Amino acid sequence: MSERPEDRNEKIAVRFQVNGEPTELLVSANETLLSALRNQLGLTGTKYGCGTGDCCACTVSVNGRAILSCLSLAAELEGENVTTVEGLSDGSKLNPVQASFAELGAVQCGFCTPGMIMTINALLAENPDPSEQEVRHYLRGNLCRCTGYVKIVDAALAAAGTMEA
Amino acid sequence: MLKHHDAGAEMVPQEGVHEVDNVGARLGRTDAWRKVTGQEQYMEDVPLVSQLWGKILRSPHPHARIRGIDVSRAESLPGVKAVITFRDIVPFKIGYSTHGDQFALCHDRARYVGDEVAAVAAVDEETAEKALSLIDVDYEVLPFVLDPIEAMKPDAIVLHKDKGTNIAAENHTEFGDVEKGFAEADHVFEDEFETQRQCHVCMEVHGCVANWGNDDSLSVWTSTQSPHIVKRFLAKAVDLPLSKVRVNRVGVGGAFGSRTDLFPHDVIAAYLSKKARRPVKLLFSRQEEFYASATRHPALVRIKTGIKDGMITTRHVTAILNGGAYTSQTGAVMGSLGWKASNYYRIENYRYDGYGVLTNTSVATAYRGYGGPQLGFALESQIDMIAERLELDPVEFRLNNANRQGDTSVSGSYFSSCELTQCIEAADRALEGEKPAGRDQGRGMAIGFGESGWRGAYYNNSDVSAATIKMNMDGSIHTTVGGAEIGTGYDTTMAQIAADALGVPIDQVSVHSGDTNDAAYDLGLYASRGAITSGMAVKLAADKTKGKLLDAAAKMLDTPRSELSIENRCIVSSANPNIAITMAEIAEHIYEEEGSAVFGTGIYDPQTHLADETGFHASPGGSITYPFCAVNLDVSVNRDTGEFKIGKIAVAVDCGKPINPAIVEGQIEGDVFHGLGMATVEPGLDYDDAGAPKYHHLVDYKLLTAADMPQIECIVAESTDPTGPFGVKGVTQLITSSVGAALANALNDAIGVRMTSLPITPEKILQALERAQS
Ligand code: FES
Ligand code: FES
Repeated sequence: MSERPEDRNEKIAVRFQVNGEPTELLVSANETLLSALRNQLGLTGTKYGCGTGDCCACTVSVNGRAILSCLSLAAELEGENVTTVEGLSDGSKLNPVQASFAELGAVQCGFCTPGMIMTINALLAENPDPSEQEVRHYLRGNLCRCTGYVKIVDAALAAAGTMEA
Repeated sequence: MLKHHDAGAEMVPQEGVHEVDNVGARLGRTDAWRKVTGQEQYMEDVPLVSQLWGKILRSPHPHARIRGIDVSRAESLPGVKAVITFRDIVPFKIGYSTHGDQFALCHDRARYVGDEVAAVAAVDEETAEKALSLIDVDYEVLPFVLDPIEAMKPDAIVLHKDKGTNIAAENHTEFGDVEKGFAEADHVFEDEFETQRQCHVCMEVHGCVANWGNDDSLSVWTSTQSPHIVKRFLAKAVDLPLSKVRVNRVGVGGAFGSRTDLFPHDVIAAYLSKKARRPVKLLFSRQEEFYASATRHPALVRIKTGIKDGMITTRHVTAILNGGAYTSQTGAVMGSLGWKASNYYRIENYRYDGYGVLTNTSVATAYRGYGGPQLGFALESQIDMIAERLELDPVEFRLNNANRQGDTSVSGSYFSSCELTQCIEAADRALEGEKPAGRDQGRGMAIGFGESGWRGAYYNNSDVSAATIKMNMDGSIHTTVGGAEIGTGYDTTMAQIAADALGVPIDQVSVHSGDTNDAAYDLGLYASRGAITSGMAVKLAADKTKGKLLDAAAKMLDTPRSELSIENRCIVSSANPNIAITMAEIAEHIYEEEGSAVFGTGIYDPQTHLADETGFHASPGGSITYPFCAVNLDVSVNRDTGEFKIGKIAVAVDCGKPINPAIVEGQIEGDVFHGLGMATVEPGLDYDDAGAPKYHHLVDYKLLTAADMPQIECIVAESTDPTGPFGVKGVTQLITSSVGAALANALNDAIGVRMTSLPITPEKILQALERAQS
């Protein structure tokens, strides 16, 4: 509960699915989805990189579409289906994109990784067999300072291969 | 010769382990699972009960006297738990090692837009922000200086009164006889180059989480390359004994040199927590990250080169680096630039005049390449300019002057291994058959040179790393190392070295890094030292552990120790084929029967080679071994728009033995990314006439995207280096130094204009084409 007394009456109740779980939260009108996920639900896999829509580190999926959680208001997600990086694997088996990231060395510092993986999952849902050019184009908003994107693109293409099979 | 610092016991001779299959293997990283599932914990994710949010009030003026600070309105805002100013902190000057000149909170003067003036801790970020706006600071705005040339003038505004000058560091070093060298040369060329203030732009912003315990102990989670360095200076800054300060392991979201020291925000978080008696999480916004975290040094580099009989004989390099408002690592980066220049080619005479100058701008510090990118752009551009003027083939010119194994450079660096010529040839060959055809297509090369550890980086006499291996009863091992996993694959590399050095399967190795309570004093990760110094410490720790196992086995089996060795995870006897006991059996025996323990500690401090012990750093300097590279790229240019496109970049690197080829490639690719960004789209942090930074967002300060990056071909020109563990050398930064010049050379090849400043933009190309026409 907030320690600021004036806050307590201003909250909005929102009900939505988060990683398959029905979830109910009290949020303020201007609370972002990023903040709600991280600060209220403890889902810290989704990252803050800029807060202004310029890095895609905060990418999550809403009904299968990749969106920027730093620009989305939690209060507007009534009834929606949100998936974060924590919801991609059951804890024992990785999602194909996660698996190829781990296998092909697409992870360095790992800070861009959750956003990258969410974006690539959205790409593969739209286009299961993308060309390298299409992968690069789709990822152009996701910034990574470590990898030069080489192994990230490789991992996306490899994941597409395994998902098809 | 290796120098081992071992407390007490004499060195265990190196016993052969006949099962080397992890070193050199393309294994998955040990941290990958955590990172792909979102479980890695970075600073922003550290969960602490009743944690507060910290925020820093920063100076809006590039230069101002602070006449007074009134925090009473901020303190009375509900939800605010602590407000601090310089009055609340010990007057400890932080900076690079003991050479500090920056208080964590300004005393009576702010020296750049972003300087830390006061700080608050509150129940949430919004309240903390609001409290900042309620702090009343009485500023007297002062004249300021942004340009280092202006700041060097005798009548310039002086930033630090006690220094009496804005020249924070200078270096004048000569080897051989430069005057004579130029007099005897057939040709002398002099050219000048300029590079911008590149920002590190780590995807994770800077910050610190601090918890001041009721027992007056301090625990911090700060994203750092050097946990022990932070601990050492943080203890002084908060006036606690070292035993009461702990830097904990935390995920590091990119570093690239920007996280090598203790910074004001670490100290501020600690004092906020002390005052509030609650944990405090203090994280920069991306905007703050741009204008208030450290940057690369903008530089002006002049190179004068003497050529005799087609050989480079003499060089004089002059460099002026803009260090920003506080000295930080300016002296060392400036020194390193000059030192690197002495090692690029076989030369006989060398002079360096370097200046690190303070201005009212963001603090400049270590950044991937450490003076190398500024130098490399200048030096390797000039190589092509000279070749063109003398009508020499630039590749052959480089080959003729290249260093070779066994050389000692003019400044005393000894190259125990060097495959530079192989790198040049391989990078040249890699683009063969793709010869750019037609008008406005070009190709350009540049070589690179780097360090691999550095003696005396912290004005000490050391380059030390530490590791401990503890074997459990089941034969599995814990490896504790003093560096940190900063994204470079450090933990994985250490696991591979530990596994092979001890003959343990990799899945039975765990690595613990980044926690000062776990590991012995270790200087951390900078100067591409992790693989070599920590790697060697791990190897020494493994040797000690092995010695302990063999001693116990000899006693247990009643066999001479000299007949025993470790093979296939067993201790076997060369005299008796029936003897074979597993590591687990002997470990269990040691714990259960001998009432003892199986562990070994390795401390490694390499013996470095440098002729002049005080030449470049007022510290001994030098690495134990040096990596080399060559970068070759193709470009095509549109003369109407100035736009250009890079076809392919071939990078050949001599980094010794790659412990993990996938990790090495990742470092090469990242190195290209930083170098190409600096060469092209990254504007560098610039200031307007009022001294305010121009860039606050990722939309203005561009990074290259996946759609922009050209194809990169990585070639490893393996050398066998006798010094590091399994022959490894550093690889994390030298290529960044080569990309700018390779691009400038390729553009010159394509359209016949010479770009002498970074970044190279379409506008600059159009201007150069226009100039060439008139
Ligand atoms: S944090 Fe959302 S785009 Fe950067
Ligand atoms: S892995 Fe570090 S930002 Fe992408």
